[in-house]
Amino acid sequence: MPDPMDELEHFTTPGLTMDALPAAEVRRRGTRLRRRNHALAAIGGVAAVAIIATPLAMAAGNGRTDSTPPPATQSPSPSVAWVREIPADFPLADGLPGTTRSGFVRSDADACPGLGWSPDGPPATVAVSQVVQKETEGDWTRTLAVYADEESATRSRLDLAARVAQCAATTDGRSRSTEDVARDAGSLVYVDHVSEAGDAFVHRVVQVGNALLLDTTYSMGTGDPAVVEQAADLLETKSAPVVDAMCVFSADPC
Amino acid sequence: MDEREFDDFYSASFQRITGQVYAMIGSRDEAQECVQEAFVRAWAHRRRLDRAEHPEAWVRTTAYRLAVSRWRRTVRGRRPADRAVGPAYESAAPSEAHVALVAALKLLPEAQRQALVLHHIADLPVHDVAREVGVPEGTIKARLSRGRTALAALLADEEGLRHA
Repeated sequence: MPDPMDELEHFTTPGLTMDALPAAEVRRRGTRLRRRNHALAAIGGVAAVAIIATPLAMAAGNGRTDSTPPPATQSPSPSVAWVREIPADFPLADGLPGTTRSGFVRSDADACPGLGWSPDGPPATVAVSQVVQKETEGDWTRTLAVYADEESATRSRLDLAARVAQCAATTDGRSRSTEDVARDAGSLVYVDHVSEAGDAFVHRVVQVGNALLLDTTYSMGTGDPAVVEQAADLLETKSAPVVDAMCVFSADPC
Repeated sequence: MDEREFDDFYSASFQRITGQVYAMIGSRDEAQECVQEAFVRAWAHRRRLDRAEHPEAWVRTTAYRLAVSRWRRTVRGRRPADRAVGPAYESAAPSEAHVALVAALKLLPEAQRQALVLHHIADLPVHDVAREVGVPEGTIKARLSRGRTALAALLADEEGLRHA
């Protein structure tokens, strides 16, 4: 019997079964892909109108997530003076060394086309800021949204979670689909798969007090759960110092 | 990486990477499509590729992830077969031993198969395999050892069946 390691080491591909593309065509497709990814990263405003017009009850329709704000246990006393402005020295760009844009332009976190998070609410934000790190294959976008109080921020987060659940149910099997990855008492992670080849935007939303932090990054190979997990871990790691600094928006500010 | 460098890189490594990915996933067509797509992305992300210490490893990893991604989606019934490269044409039939080896590789656990392919077919030292897969060297050594044993047993069984 031949040695299996010899067989492996002399493994050859017995001829390609299809004509390989010429290098120039590969480059042309690559250039087109880059342009498309930039365009995908730049859109966002499209979803806003539909979001504003969509009744919240519909968004919460499938019952997987309760969009009703939590009762008194999470509602702080009316005496809490919520911070409603973003401090000038807030380190929103921490972990994003190549930040090229700040302020707020427009970037809604799509759960699926027509549904997602928007700074216009409801409930509407009282302050919002955004930084973007330019990448060749898609931007890394980070948005800090401040609400009038913790109840509004919670409602916004839970509404988004309901929309993600709704999108996951209604887009299953489509070329653009939503994956509801994880959620806990103060955060959620979801994936907006934009192609069948594994291209996706991975979103992570974290609430601290009356503020939400929304991080979005582009990833590929997201048909593999390990890649999604890796992207989610990266979002968490890179945003950790910002989440720490968000204690300024908690009921007991730092 | 400019156009000429990319073209040279593509010409020199396309078939080699396709063979490695083929050994990992067991389908030549799928391997070729995924490697082609990985090179498209390599050009789209060429600044990232410039920063990569091992561009060939970047393309191989991307192609493998694409293959896994496609496979999972196919399993979930989401994706019809995609033939985006070019028209299929007849190629020489592989040898019996080659078919047996590919079939045996497909029966191995994914992690063992990946380690065997990267070490024995891509000819990477253990520490490079560990870096590419993202696990400690000891884990790769264990996967190689178990993979070799399992592969030898599978091929011996197959040989026995043929002679029976």
